[in-house]
Amino acid sequence: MQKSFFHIVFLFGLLLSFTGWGQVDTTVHLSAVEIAAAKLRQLPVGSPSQEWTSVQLEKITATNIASLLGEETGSFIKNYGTGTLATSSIRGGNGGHTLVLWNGLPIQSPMLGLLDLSLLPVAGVESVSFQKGGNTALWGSGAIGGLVSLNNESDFSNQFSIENQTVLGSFGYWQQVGKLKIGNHKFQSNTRVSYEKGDNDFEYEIAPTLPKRQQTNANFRQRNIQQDFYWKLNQQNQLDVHLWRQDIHRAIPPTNVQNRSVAYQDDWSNRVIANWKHIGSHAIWNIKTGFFDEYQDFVNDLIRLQAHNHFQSYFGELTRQWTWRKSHQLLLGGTHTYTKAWSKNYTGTILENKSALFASWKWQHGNWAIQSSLRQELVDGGFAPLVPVAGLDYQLASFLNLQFKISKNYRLPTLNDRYWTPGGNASLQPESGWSEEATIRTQSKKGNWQWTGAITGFNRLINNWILWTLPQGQNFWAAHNLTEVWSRGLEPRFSVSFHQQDIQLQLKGGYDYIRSTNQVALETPRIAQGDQLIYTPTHQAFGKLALEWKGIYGSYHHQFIGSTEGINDPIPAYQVGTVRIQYNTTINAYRGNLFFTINNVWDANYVVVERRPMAGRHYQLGVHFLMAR
Amino acid sequence: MKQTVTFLFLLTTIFLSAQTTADFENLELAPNSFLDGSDGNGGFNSGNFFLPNDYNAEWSSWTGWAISSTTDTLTPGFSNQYSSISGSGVNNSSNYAVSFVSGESIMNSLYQSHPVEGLYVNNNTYAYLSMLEGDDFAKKFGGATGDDPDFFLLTIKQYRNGVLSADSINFYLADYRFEDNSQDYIIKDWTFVDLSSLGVVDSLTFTLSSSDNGQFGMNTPAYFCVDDIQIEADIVSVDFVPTEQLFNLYPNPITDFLQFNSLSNQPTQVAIYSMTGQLVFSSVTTGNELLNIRHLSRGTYIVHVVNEEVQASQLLVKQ
Repeated sequence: MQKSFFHIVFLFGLLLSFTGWGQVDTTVHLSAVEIAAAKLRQLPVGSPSQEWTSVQLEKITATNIASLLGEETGSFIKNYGTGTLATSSIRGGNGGHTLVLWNGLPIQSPMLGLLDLSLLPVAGVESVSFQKGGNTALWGSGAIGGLVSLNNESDFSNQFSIENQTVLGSFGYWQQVGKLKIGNHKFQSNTRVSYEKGDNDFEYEIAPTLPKRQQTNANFRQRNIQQDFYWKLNQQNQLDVHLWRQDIHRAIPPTNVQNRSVAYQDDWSNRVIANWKHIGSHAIWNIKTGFFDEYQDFVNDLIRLQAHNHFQSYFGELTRQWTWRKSHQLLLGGTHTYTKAWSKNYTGTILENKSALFASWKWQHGNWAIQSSLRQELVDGGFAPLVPVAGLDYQLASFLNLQFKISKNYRLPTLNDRYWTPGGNASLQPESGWSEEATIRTQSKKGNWQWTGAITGFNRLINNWILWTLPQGQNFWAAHNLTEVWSRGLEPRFSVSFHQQDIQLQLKGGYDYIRSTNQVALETPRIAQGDQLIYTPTHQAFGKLALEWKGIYGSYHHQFIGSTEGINDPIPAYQVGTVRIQYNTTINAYRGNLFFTINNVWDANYVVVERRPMAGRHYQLGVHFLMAR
Repeated sequence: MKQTVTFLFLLTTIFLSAQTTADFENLELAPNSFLDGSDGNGGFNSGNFFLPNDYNAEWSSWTGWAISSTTDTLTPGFSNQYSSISGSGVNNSSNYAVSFVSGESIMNSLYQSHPVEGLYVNNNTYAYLSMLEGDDFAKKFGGATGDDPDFFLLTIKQYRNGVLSADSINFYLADYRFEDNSQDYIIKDWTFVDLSSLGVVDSLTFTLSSSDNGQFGMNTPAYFCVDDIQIEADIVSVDFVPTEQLFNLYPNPITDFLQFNSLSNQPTQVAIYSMTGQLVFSSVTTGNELLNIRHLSRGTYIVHVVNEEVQASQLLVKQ
């Protein structure tokens, strides 16, 4: 029985790997059971997903999750400048509409409701998965536009490995990553230390006739220490503990219409997660607990402003997943989150209690896979919207796959939305609404050639969209449920690959057409009915060509972002190219690579956020070394 | 809870015909400090003018007018919102008025039969340094190249009998629209603005506009400073009298009836004006009287009380 179950799970894993279009060299370090346990929530049925393993992450130029999403998925990243704040805009949402998980727990700030994706180093995880669309039913508030999962994973076949990466780059960039993994088939210890810094004192063009201006007060420094323990107590029980200490200093540069800035922001975070997993003959139990303690200090001595924010979140989660009759899986779970937050702009300590029950059922038979989930959350004694989701995968033919998903989703108001003084509004309702999406995917293989093509269409209407507005006769901004946002679009993707002996060639690309419009006219902020959301490009596209031959790997990535509206002015479209050349070699237990990256290879003069110039052409040279036994 | 309108600042007057000036020196203010309306009086009297203040105790914020003696001309940012860029009032006087304009700021004339001659205007330090250097939200004037035709414009209009005039006086607090960038300027000295062409006014209204605007409105900080407001009036001597409570009016906010209590036996005129200066109620009383103001629509009004010895103004909210 258990063997059959493993087969099903494994096949299911294969199916999911097909749904992750355009990815090659997928190496999954987890056992099949672990895949099923994780993927039922992280990669649910009904929408496309992508996953990067540690081997794939080695070939990617991105050093943080913001760059990874921008370069590999074509997602729009709202970047305030090299080394500074970066948030995502997935399917016309804002940064708070993409939920980011670290080993299954949300790491968004409950005060701001979003996460700076530039603070998440790619080197800090073994795998990353990404799925667009609504996932609130399985993960809770915020998973409206997309879900990013950062995962640390065990490899019980490892005995000893040591890894180092050094990257030097333009504008004083230096990254140092060290990893040490020790263990046996019962116990594994993974230690990671990383240090990253940059001066970002690049020059940018103001006008062709004027001398370039050098960016100032733009340096950053980031330190990460991570420790993972994996203890396989026996065949049925495993205990994982993850610890992550982050320490970040970032200077805030002036805008291009500001003479000077001395502002800076310091972020400290301590995160710990413990997860116990019990694998029975028909069910998998997971008990997870976590504690996050995070500080954020913003200091601008020029204007005598110091803002100190601090929060602590405690998490508890219990899930049980059953499998029966080979084709059914049922997941039941409950979570509780207790948050304490402090800020000078809060009246006293803010406490928040959130509890949720959720269930997910999946049926898979032949060419069909159906998954349906439901969640009810209780926030400080009040009910959040009841959110269902239903997804469908259908393999119509060997070359044709269909997916469909309909879901209701919500985003709770942040603590700042509710309690900030002045302007916080404790009576805010959650943003909520329905979204639908459908995907047609085709794939074919002939000889050494393989190609895939897919197109996804989506539609989403979110009510009670929260905006801060300046009421007439009032001199402070306040949060209100002001508008309704209708997002819809098309996301075609393609991938062509060729593989013969030592040669691998891959070409992939995609285009996003996204209309995300306010449906209610407002005076302040000044928004007309039907206006596209600011910082939401209607058109964006990307393409990547990669060639690998006998350990030599080269890639060219090109991204086009169409014009967007900023708060003050329109932002012109821009195109950015990135070249990476890498040499990989393996000698016995030693593996190493040397890589060279040219960012913004065409030296484009552009901004992503108005008045915030980006760096022109710049370079990075790195060496990566791994010794494994 | 019964709330009472109290008149803490009374003015003794001698009636003659000449020019008077509202210079705010009558308001007790320690050096390098400000009155932001947190006393709940709803505004400030000086000379023949009442400058309304709308203070939000919950958020500790205000709109309209504040009175300041702060001298910081160097610190940029919101924390220095009360300073004039010259660091003092006109002719190095201590006190001056600062306006934070939300929509419009209104200044009520208490002698509506006489024309306002003019007033002195200056930039506020927060706004001045924002225009000069830029800040996190607003651009430095001229932009990255220095060529942007930026401006920061103060427009003054008058209400008469509740009607807003078409006539206006425009005064550029900053002007970068010149072809020759060397002519660009941001006002940093007290400058007299002649308002005599506006004639007799019930009230003056001030609005600000800027070339630096975004979806969330004007980016340039909406502040400016005023001092020495001159009016042709009957008063040559205005003495500030910090007195005990001589009048009170309650309740406030009010619905239908306003109780007026006076310790004075002299006939006293109680006049109620709309925020634009239109007279909407007037009564002469002696001692205590219940005033019927049921006919007034909801809103904020200015109550002006005057007899032969004293005059005072206060805000009243009708619900």
